[in-house]
Amino acid sequence: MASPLDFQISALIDDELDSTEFELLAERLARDLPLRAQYSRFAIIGEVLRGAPLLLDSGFAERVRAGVASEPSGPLPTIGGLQSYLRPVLGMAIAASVALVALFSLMPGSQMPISGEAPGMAMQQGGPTYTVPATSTVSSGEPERLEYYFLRHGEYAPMARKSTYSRVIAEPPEADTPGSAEGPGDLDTAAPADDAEGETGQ
Amino acid sequence: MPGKTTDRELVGRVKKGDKGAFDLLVLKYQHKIVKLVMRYVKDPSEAMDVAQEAFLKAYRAMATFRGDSAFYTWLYRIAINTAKNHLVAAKRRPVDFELDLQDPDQYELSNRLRDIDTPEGLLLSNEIREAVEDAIRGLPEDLRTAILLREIEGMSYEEIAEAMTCPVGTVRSRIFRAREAIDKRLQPLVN
Repeated sequence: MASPLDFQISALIDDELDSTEFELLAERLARDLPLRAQYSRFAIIGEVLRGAPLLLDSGFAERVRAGVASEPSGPLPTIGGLQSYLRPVLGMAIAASVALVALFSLMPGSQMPISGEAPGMAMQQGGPTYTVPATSTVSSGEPERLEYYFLRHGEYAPMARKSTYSRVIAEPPEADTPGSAEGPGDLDTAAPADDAEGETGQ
Repeated sequence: MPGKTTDRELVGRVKKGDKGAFDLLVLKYQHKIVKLVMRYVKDPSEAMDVAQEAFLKAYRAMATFRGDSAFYTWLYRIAINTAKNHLVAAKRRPVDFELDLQDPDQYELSNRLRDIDTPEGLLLSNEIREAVEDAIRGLPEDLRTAILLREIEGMSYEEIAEAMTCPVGTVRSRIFRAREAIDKRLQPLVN
């Protein structure tokens, strides 16, 4: 009369054992040599039916077992003391830190804009969809802030993507250029608003 | 995926320090791994050593196994790398001779070589094959079908139940009964 364990050994070979059955059977297999031998024979049946060459040297498994037995006991150490589920979290944390460092290093912290507003803020407010008003209804200080934004943008954007306006205000003043080297030219006359919009909107 | 759930459970136990669970993985995959290694290392005793080394490497590296792939896939890679490293160390070609496996005669020859060329370590026993085949032939039709669908077609119990229009529990029982009958013939030869 077959015992439930025999059925379970067969199901174990087929990976059709549920977790609770598995736990009990694994405990039993650890100390029940005849049961383990049966497991091994059931595995052989499969190999024979599939026409695979057989390894019938029981000494092989014994030798591996002896080799494993000589390894340190106890739970296997995780890599670097980190649980596997923590590794992705650590990776994301590192990536976020790098992104933050990159962001702050790109911010011209030491060169405050003329308007006194933090350049990072100006960039954030402008953003990729910032639209330069076509009319001169900007409040006092706004043109300087916008020009500062364009200059900074020009420094970090590839040359091909620099707007006409940023090139104009970055160039040394010519005789007919309004403003001076220190002070940017007049926004209304330097570049059409739609040009700037086209660049910044990309 | 067959082989995945139980293997994962076994791997989990190994990671917790259960060396016996690793033994079950060895018993399960030793035939496949030695066969795999023999593609690279012709000498059977060397192949056994390489396969043994591959299992030990797998045990030592078990902490790095995250379960993204099936355990056997991971073990397979370790075995291949171990075999290749062995060849590099021995400064030899991967195979000492080439056989055209498309040619049935040569394929047969290669199998016979594998069978005969193995000393006590690696033995393809005609006796065992015959015993298993005889036992299969002597099985009732429902048991034979169930075990062949499982072992040769690789179908799950659920798929077999559907194919044989019977409950999964019946499939489990039929497959066990088939194995039990074959095992009676096998036991005196293997033990």
